[in-house]
Amino acid sequence: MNELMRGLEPLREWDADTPPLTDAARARALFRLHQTMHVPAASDPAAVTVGRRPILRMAVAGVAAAAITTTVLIANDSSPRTQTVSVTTVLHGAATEERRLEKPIAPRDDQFIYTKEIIKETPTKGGSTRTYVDESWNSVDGSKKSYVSELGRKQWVPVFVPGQGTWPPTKWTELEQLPTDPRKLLITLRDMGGKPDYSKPMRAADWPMTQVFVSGLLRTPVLPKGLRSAAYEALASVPGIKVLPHQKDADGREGIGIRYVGAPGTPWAHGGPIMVFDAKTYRYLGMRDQRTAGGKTYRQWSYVAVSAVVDRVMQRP
Amino acid sequence: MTVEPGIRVGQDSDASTSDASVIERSWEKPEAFAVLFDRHADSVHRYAARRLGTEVAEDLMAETFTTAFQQRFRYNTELADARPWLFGIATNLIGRHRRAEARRLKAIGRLPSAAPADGCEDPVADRVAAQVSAQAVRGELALAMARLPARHRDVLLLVAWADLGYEEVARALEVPVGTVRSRLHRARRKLRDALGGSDPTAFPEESEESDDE
Repeated sequence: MNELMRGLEPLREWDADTPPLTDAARARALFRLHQTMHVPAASDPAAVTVGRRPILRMAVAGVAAAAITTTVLIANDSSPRTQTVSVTTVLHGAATEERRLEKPIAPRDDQFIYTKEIIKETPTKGGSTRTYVDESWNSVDGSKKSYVSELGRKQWVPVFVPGQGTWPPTKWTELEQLPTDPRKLLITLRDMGGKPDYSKPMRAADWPMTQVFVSGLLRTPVLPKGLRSAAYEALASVPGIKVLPHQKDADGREGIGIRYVGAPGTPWAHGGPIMVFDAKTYRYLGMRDQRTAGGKTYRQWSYVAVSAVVDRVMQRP
Repeated sequence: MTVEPGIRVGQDSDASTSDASVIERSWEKPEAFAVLFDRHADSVHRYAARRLGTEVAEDLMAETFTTAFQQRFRYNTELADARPWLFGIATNLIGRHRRAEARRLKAIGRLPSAAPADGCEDPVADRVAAQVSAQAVRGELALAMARLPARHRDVLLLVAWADLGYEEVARALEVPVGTVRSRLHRARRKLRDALGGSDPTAFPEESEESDDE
């Protein structure tokens, strides 16, 4: 007998004759579980799509340590110098740069977001680099068919059915409702699906999923004014975001990487994709990622070359 | 038995695999989560049935597993046994039925227990008397449990009916182990008082712990 239960035998024997779970009840419960497995939930990172891509492909990083400082070698005109930068420096710098460069847009629900993404892929065990140019037209509110290219594979994406959506939302009105205050943005993403409780502090268990949503937001090529810079600053406060020096873009230019590495036992324990920023201006350059297909692993470098609002599919800016 | 096509019932293809490994596998292959269901559906259902009755238990058990599935990315896979996690989810869901649980316990406490026949040495009558006595104890227990603060009742019943230890209850409820000890101590003392409290040896390993919160 459980040692803790000594003396509480009457309680232990309470309803000892409770009817067992019947086969029919077991099958009903299991059926519900299977239904849940096949209906994407907003909080399920494996199910949520970003631009129709599994969000795990782009989930950036995090363990439990706040802004981690590292020493980064930065090319300074003629002579290299070492400089210490932190996650906060890089991401707040990126936010500042974004505010300086962003051009506000206001797409209508009946329009499309056009994006041209360049993906360079190299087998990790050696081999030639292949470049994909993915052009996509995503319906702003999901009410029209979208046309999406992924690694050269083109397909029409059906109109959303009621209740269906993606993270981040493609509906511009929904994006506009997200707060541009970094702290409020974090709470809103944590409490997604309900009313945000700004008085409730973030718990350790909240961070991994919240960072997935922040990172997903940053992956979106076009965002309302102020939202991307808020997302950069929000990401800076996520425990587990790390700085990785000496990250190069596809042209060999050196930048600074930002990556989330999850706590042991989480899907991000080995680190997610790396967002690369210009070492001087902290402007976002692109993303380093890895994918496995057909038993082969590929290193990817991707960036959005063009994004714009257009009136119809196949129309280019 | 009628089962939807493709749904397995009562199978565990690899019983030697830890719950944590199953959950980790389900990150990539959601269907793998059904193994966890196969392993623990009965015990979670039994726990729910004892707390809320069989009518509610099926629904609560099903919701426990769908909730667990949705939260599987939060599971710390360094913890091999997922029972504390599952019972924690079940207990949280039971929290939505606090009033119903209290009403049920009070109703059980009010059930009449017929008086045994005096001086009768008939063995059948002895058994009846024992049953009546057990019923009386059950009623006292039910009323005592109804009077417990919900957080104390949760700890007590996770130990008594889910068979969890201090550390496991702490993990299930996300509270410190000291809090679990304290709550269990208080809950047991109240139950002992309700049952007469005449036998101090009935709680031999009980010790004064720090106050709860």
